Amino acid sequence: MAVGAVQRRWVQVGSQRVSLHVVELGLACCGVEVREARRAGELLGAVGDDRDPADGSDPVDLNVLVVAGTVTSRLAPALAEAYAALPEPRAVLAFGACAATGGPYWDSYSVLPGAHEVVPVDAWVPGCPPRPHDLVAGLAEVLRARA
Amino acid sequence: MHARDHRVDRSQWLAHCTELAAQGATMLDMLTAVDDPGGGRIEVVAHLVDVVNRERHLVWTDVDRDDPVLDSLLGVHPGAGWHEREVHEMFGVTFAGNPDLRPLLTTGDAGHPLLRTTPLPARVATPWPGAFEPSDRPAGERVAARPRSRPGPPGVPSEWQA
Amino acid sequence: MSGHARIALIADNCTSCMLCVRECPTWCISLEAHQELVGDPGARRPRTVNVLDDFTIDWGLCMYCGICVEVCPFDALAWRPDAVAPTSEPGGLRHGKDRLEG
Repeated sequence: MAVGAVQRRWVQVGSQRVSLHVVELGLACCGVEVREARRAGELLGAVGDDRDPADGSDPVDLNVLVVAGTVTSRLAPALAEAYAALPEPRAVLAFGACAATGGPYWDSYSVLPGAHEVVPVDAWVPGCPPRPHDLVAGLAEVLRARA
Repeated sequence: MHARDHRVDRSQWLAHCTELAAQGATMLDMLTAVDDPGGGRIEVVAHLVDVVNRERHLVWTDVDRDDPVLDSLLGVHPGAGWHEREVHEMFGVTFAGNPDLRPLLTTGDAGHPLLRTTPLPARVATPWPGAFEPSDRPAGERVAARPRSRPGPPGVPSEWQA
Repeated sequence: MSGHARIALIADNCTSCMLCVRECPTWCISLEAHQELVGDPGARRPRTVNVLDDFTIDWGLCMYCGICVEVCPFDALAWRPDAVAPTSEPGGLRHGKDRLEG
C-alpha cells in the first residue's frame, strides 16, 4: 500500500525548524497585532512544506496558546478551558501588557492581573501592544526556554 | 446639533421621556449616571435622539444615594434594558419595572464600582511606589525643616489610605 | 527591527524628584534613593542632594504612554528605538537601573 508523503508546514524560528500550531486567543487590541503577524506570513521567517528538511532532523512539534489581550474575570474560565483542551506538547505565550499584568487595567474591578492567574505562562512579550514582529521573538523565547 | 437639556424631578422621569418619544425622540442612545457631582445625589441622564427632525435631548434627574430608585424606561425604549442593567451594576440604582438587573461584568463581590465611595481594591492593597520620599533616608541627622507634602496614591479615597 | 520603542534612563540627570513615579498611570516605575550632604565652598552649609540607588520599570505594566518622559524636568528619561526583549523568567520584565541605562 502506497503512503503519500506527509506534507507539514514548519517555520524557522531562530536556528530551529518548528512545526507550530499557534492558537490565538485574541482578547483585545493585542489580538489585532497577532492576527497581522499570522496574516503576513513572511514575518514568521522561512516557511517550508517538507516534513524532512535537508539536515534530516524533524521539526520540533509544539502547540502554543498565545494570550493576546485583557483577561477579564468573566472570560477567565474560557481561558482555562482553552488551555485544558490544548494537547501536549503545549506552551503559553503572554503577548502584551494585559496578558502579563493586566496592563493599564491592572486595577480594574473586572480584570485579572495577568494570564498567569489562570494558566502557566512560558514566556512574556512586553508591549502595549507589541508589534506583530515581536510575536516571532516571543515564540523564539518559548522555544529557547524549553530547550 | 446641540442637545437640549431637560432637568426633571424623578417623579416626572418616565412621563417626560414618554412625552419626548411621542414627539419623535424615539431612539435611546445612552442611559447612564454620575455619582455625586455635588450634593450627595446620584444623577441619571438619558440621551434621546429624534433622527427625523435631527434633535437631541439630554434628560437629567437625581436620585437619593440612600434610596436610589427610578422608573424603568423599558416600556418606552426596549433598548433601555442593558443600559439600566449597567447603571444598576455600577451605581446601585434600581429601575422599577425592569425585571432583569443582573450584573454584566462583575461577579457582585466588589460593591458598585463607579460610586465615589467604592475604592478600587487593587489600588488600596498595592503599595504605591510614589509614597517613597528620598528624605526618608536622610543624610545624618539633618532633616529638611519643611519636608515636601506627600500626595496619596491617586484614585484611593483618603479614608482608605494607610 | 520590530519598530517598538523603549524608555531609557539617563541616571546622571536624575534627581529622584519622584515625578515620573507618581505620574505613571500604571504605577510601573519605582525608585530607591537616599540623601547625602555635599560640601559647597563659600556656602553657609553643605547642600543636601538626592542620590539615586535604584530605578525600576516593570515593562509588563508599562503601556508606553510616555508621560514619564514628558514630565521629567531633568530629561532623565528618553525614548530609544529598540524594543524590550521577551523573557521566560517570571519577573524578568522588571528592569533595574543597569538594564535601563542608555
